[in-house]
Amino acid sequence: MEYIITFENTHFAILSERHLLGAGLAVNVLPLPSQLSAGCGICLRLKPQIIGEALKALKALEIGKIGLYKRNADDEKNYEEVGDRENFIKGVENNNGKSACQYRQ
Amino acid sequence: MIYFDSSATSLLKPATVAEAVSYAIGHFGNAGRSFYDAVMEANREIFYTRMEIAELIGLSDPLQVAYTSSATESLNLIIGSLIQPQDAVITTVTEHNSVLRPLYLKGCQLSFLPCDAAGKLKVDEFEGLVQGSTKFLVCSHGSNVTGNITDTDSLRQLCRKHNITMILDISQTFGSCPVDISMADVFCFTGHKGLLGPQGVGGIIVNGDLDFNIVKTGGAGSKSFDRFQEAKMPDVFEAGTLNAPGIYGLQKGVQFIKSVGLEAIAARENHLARLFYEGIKELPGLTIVGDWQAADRLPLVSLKFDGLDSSDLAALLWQDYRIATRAGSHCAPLLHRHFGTVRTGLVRFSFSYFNTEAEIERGIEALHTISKG
Repeated sequence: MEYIITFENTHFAILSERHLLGAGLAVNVLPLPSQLSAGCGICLRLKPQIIGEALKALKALEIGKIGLYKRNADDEKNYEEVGDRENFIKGVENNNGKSACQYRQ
Repeated sequence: MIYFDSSATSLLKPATVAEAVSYAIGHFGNAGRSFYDAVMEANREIFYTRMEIAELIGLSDPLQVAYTSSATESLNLIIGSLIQPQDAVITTVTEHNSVLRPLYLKGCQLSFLPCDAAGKLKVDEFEGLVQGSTKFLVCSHGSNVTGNITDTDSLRQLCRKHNITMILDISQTFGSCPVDISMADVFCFTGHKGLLGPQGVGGIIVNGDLDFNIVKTGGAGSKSFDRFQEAKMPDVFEAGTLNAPGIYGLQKGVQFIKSVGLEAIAARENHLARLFYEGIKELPGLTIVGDWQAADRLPLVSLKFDGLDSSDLAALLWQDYRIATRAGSHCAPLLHRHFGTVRTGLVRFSFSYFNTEAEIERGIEALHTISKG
């Protein structure tokens, strides 16, 4: 499973990447999947284990509206939008039994 | 060569600037156009340069910095975007053509703040120029001819009192003396003078929210199916491919300034300018323009000798002494009319942090010898 964070523009994507990398969270830059709609042509890909921490970190930034999508398998073509972020973050914090440390840089 | 033309461009720069430009040419992709390493490296360095510039001027949001090719382009874009032909605008008689000509082209009603015999702006006459339709003040922070620094505190207060948007040309001051975001609403800067970057890069800095009209449009790297790019900073002024090598070089120039300290740079440059001024001011037949009573000045001296055309003086300095200066009108026609130097011009000596006392002494000797005929 993986998560994709999308942005309104490239500036917000770069700022977010810098912020998350600075927080020790492993993110990768990808081209925006064609089935997703966003202002910016690049997005950030994150592992499930750090998505909650990443979303909380991004709250501190003024980066406009972000999109959050998940894909259950690498070969799956469909991304599912995650709508309710607050409950999503709580759910991740409650259910995530693994430490995020192994995904830190 | 002894380079005394830093007001034109900073020929003397930290080595890191050229290294950065060279690196970028071989490694940077087209920023904002894809995702692979070469593009992301360009994206990041362009963003980091915005952060460096924002920090230098005391701005919290780096996205209020937009890149252009020069201060001239910045002024053209800002004047084109914000000012309407029916607006009344105040400018000054000390301006460079990069301020005057876009205003002439706009066709708006212009009023000119005069200056005194030393080229110092008569700020007390500002309110007499304000009309009901006055919306903007466009002026420079420092004169490329006199070296006088504008009293922006007083002008800012007057603009706030009359709800006038203040656009400040900081071409001559940014990187050479303190410039703070609180001084104006909009700043137009160049990267290749005091900021020590390469030619071909400049920018616009915006303090607050302004309603921009799109005056430059094209590919922006995102939202391709929208008819136009967003009319907000920085994208409103950044259609097309950015000069990423120039921007990366500019980053190194700004980092150098921060590593030395702006106050240290300003002190050194002023010391050199004062040394030169004191060494020549008593020469017979010499006229030096500018307000030399002011404590804060740009590091330049503009002068003429009676009976000697500025171009002849500049030619002598170059041919006999390999001293590089700028002769003529310095793209400031109204100021030369004010000083009565339209026919003769002036020779400008403008100094940088990298000049030496030995070079200053050589310049003084040269003028002493020339003055003896």
